[in-house]
Amino acid sequence: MNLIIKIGILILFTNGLLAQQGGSILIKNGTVITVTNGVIENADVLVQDGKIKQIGPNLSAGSSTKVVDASGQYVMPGIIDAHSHIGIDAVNEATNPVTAEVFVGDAINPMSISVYRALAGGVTVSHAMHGSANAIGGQCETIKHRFGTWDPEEMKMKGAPRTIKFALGENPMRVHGEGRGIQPKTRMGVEMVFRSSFSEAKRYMEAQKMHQQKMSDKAYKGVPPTYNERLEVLADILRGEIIVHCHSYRADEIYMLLQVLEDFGVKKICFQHVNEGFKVAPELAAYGAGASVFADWWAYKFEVYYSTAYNATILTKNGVLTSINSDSGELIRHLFHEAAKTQRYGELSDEEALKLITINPAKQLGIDNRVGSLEVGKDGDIAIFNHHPLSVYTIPQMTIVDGVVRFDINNDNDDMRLAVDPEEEIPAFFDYQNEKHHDRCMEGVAEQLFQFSSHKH
Amino acid sequence: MKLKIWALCSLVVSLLFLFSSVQSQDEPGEVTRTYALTNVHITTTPGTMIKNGTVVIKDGLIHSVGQDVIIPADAQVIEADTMFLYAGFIDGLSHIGIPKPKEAERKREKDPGNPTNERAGITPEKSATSLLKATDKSISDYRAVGFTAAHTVPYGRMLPGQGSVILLDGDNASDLIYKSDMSTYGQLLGSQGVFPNTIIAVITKYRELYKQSQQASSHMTKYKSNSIGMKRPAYDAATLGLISVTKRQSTLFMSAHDHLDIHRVLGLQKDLGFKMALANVKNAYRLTDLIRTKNIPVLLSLDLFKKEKEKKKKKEKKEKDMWDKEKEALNKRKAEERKSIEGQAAAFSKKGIRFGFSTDGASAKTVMDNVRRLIKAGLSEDAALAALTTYPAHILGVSQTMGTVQNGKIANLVVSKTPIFDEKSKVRYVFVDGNLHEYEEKKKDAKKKEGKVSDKNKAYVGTWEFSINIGDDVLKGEIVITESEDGTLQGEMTGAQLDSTVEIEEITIDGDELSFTADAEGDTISWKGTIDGDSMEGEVNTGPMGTFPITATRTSSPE
Amino acid sequence: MNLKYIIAGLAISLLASWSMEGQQIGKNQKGSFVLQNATIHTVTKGDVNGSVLIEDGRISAVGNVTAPADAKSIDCSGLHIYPGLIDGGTTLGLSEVNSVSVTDDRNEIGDFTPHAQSLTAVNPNSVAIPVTRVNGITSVITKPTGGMFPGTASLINLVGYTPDQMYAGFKAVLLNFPSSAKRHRRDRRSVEDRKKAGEKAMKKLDDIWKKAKLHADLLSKGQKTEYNPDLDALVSVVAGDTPLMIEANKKEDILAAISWVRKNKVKAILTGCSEGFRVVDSLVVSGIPVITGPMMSMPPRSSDRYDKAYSNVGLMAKGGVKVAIRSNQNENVRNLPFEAGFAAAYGLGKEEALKAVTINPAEIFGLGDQLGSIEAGKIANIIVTDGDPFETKTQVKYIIINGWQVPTESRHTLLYDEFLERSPGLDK
Repeated sequence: MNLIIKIGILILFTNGLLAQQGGSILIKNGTVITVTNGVIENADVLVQDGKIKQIGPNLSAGSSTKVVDASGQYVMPGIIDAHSHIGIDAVNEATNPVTAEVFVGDAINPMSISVYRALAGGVTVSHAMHGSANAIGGQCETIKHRFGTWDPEEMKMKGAPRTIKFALGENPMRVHGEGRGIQPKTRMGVEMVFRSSFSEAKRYMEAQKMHQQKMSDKAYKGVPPTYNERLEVLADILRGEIIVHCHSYRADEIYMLLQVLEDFGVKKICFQHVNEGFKVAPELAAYGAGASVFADWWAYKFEVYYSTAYNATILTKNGVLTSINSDSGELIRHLFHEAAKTQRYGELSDEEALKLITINPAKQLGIDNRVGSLEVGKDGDIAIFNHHPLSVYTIPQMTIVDGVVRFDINNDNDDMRLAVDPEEEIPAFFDYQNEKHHDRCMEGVAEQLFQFSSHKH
Repeated sequence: MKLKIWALCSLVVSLLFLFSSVQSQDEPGEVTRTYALTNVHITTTPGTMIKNGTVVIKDGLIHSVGQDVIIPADAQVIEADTMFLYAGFIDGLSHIGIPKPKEAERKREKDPGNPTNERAGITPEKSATSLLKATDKSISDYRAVGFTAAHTVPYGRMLPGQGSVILLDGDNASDLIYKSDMSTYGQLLGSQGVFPNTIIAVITKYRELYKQSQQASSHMTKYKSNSIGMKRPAYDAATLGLISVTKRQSTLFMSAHDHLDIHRVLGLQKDLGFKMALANVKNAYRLTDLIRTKNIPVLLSLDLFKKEKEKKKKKEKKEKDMWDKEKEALNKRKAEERKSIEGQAAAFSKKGIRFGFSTDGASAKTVMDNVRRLIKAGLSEDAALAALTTYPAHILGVSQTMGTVQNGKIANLVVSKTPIFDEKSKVRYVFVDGNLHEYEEKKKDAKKKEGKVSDKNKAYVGTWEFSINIGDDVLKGEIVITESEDGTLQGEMTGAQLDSTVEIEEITIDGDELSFTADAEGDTISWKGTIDGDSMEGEVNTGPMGTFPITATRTSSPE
Repeated sequence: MNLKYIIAGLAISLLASWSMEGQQIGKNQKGSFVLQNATIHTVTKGDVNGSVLIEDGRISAVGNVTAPADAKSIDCSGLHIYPGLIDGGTTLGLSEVNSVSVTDDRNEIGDFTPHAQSLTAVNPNSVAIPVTRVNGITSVITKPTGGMFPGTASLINLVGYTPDQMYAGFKAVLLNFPSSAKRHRRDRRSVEDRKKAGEKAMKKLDDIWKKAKLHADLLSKGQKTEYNPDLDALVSVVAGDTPLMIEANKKEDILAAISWVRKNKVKAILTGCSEGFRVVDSLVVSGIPVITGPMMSMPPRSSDRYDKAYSNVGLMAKGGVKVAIRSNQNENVRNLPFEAGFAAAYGLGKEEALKAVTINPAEIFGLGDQLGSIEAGKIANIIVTDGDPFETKTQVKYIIINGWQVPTESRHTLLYDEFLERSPGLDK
């Protein structure tokens, strides 16, 4: 093995051990884009034990703290992707229109090279989501890109709120309705699935409550309702313990879900993709719903034909909490550029544009108290760029998670894979151009429909 | 389609033995069940050897062991001069004795979200005992390499069923059973086309089922004490089948191939608290510390990655280009990974982790070679022997009766001409439950070497390279047909898509016609060819997949 | 007139004007234009301050120009003039909504359909065309996809209502070169199988080519041949008049394609070349130009450095390969300037990146005297911007294609206009 690679891997391994404790680092003389408190020229950022300790000029730290010179460079909070599917071994459990009980956090794969490539695009946190095959899909996991650890638990952002994936429109209709003749086949059916699922969960909660109340009565001979993981999760949504993230495109279906959630008292909702969100921006703003959108994807299927790349701008200007996401292992590598597109399409200010990939997605994931801006006390998740991050010419230089350098362009080589297949001759050439760009959300569905095993065993 | 056919072909493969069992139903039975093996080097327990000793076997048990042992008058004396004797090997987890179920033809499920438990692969109540077949070839195959007992579990998906400890000898399935339904087997393997399909559904299903099982158990207890006025407990085989696990009466043996699987099953175990053993562990060398801390029983897989074929050395290029250098670096990493995997057992051992082996679908022919590979990579022979004998006996709860060569234990023994872990070591005798199985080295292909093949077989014997035309693609392979001592034909088939060599069976010849069958994961492939000199044309019937044309050319033939 | 009618009339005209504003793209204008007082980035002759005069669809003067009285004057003070950007490979106009198969004309049935003409199926009214050109792209190669010979690609200008109005004077026959690469992530064929499939396809290609040569040979001798419209489409390729655009991406495939081209003496353009960085020397020696992209793509192998797809084009160009950039896109061809920007940042440099989307493709297509730079006599494909056309925030202010001034509107801008401040808002 090349010595440099070896050293690189060694560094990663060592970092792996530090994963949860966090490291210390002092970044000197950069243009510090705090996102929430403006831009500070020639300032330092000090991270100690994984947390931002100080921001300001002329900071110093103990001799053991790593110092990075960022003169002429831009220092911003680590980018957050509110919608991705990297770092997990399963995306869709497409066998049923409702699979609230499944949890992609059970399938974290810390060896995924996609995580490293995302780091090389300044992304420190991503929302690893279930796919969109089912009206109520599975629970998602917010991961920190602590590439180098082998332990899936260490990838999880402990303390991040629970989230779940819902999906409207063509995908669940196609998989279940068209594919199998099981509701939903229409957007009416999608609504029916939500209403019946929530209603069933309510009855389950009531039955549990009743059982609890009667338990003290010695003459009571009832038994608790049969434990049901799916209904437990749905009940947690009704209790407000889980944030709903809903794959959606058309204005009518977005509006429909708002009505359903209102009826069941569910407040926490962030719409995903939401290509026609701009058409119901006032309603979204009034409900307090978030919108996490593509910068410019459209026309790959009928429900996104009446789209506009000005979506993020219209939503932002209408007061909707908006973010820009990737939904793609490729796009996640240049979310800073995707955010910049709002300056071509709607001329958002630098701050407005950068919020779309930092503090706004952090709010949508309920982690804005910890990440999404450079503020004292927050996690030391930082991305450093050689030009302004919204310039097309910018190149990420260094990405730091919890004060630990996880990507450094000056210490980056070929073959940063953690795991090696003991039998594969040479990593296969893969013609990415044959890949459909928009099918990650539906990954695994074909296998399930045609009953091929997608499991490696 | 092509892929599927050959995927079917890949598994348990009939072995072409250089040795074959002498025992046969067409011969007279044993004269006595008392045996004395004399002048043999006895490894009583790993690390302890009695040189030039005697072992007496009587009534299926080890009667006496030592250097000064009186040989009973009724004993058949076997002069095992300078041979090596060990306790019979115990397979920590396998499917030995259970015929592999044929893949049912899957219809598209109407409601894949609500399958039956059977269809979903959730049958913890299913007993391995009920599935045993005494004549299953795996029994004699594994016995021939020294295995005398096995912990065998049903095939399946998420929760295939309960495991039993069996002895690898017996005329009827019930003769095999030593300890029935003593464990539960689990995998992180979803069902095809129905819930739970993916890993995320499988894991959540474990959680739900576990809690439901606990509920059912407490409901049943209450119902038993006072059922009047109480709703009757529902009968659900899966939840009931898991009660022994939730009550920690049965160990859940979880198949976990790599470190990710292990993290996942450890996570489940931590949440739910069942008694667990790790089985089929292939690649977990990074987790030695964790496994030692958790103190969970481990069975390492003997299904090692294939050895690389030695490549003919190409002439070294004078100038290496960028890509050559990249490839060198990539291959180096791969080689290091292979080394680490082969060195895993040694690493575990050095850290004080005790482990057994599970054969995990590996062909019987390869398992002992694989053990030798682990030894070559640093595992001590004593630790290897312990992993084959005392440790599996310990975790299966059969130490009282198996695992060592001591008086009073079941006479499960293996005898080899040279130390068992020597590269070319051959098994000579195996005793299972006191029954003798003798293996003689065949004079391998003596005739072939001499080039003497009877005239009647000359037209068929040799190496045939064949092509099967499947749609747009061509599959290539090789059949080697030889003449056995008794003048009948035998042969084997290899091919690009076959994972291992397959024995061909039912060879019939009729003039210029040659036909045979080959077993490929329960699917039989039948071959029918017409020979014209050194070429053959015909077709191969793959059953459900259809019939495809074949052509073959003989590349070597008898003189 | 009755008041009622007046009010109704007013309402109707209001509605009409609203829908004109809100739902339609304005008309194209032709005539003489003088773009005044701009920084002119000629690409071939450096940067000049001054004006550009456009007459009869062509650039008639650059720099200090004397505009005729009837020329429409457009004040470009503080703005920048660039040649319209050219995308070296798209499927623009061939598919409207990719997942709706009846709107997808990219892929004809058959492995050997060189006579499938993209120019036949281009929809001049595709919603994606205005969406593309408002980002400064004025011409694109639009190409069929699919089998070994998927069809004939055409260069089109993004203005016009018939294929002939759009046609920009260049066609090429496409060849997907036989490959041993994985087709997609879940391609489970073994290495051997893939190799065999590649060899089989190679034999097929050679057979086809033998026939094509015989066909062309007999025709050139005045002989009558059987009706073979597919082989007819290769006659001018065999003759070396029409180039063959050969898609090859894997290292071995690119090398095989190069030697095939040499052997068959074909006029070739290589496309894709995602592993071009591994065979730069061979590419240079071959002298074959390369159209590559998109840059925003995954590295070809899991072991490759994260930025290999970004830097590939720069590595090839630095070695001496003539390169052009493509988006390989359909509805998002508009990202071409950003592709070029990434290429520039990751090693190609701004100047070369600009050439790779202007004069280089023009020259590769044999249209170096017609397109790709701001020079007198060239076709007036011009964009006026408020800055660097690759920079993400830059706005395109004016677009002239083939002498037509095209409105800077598209469905996306129209929806923006309608919905930025929706009316009614929350009220009923």
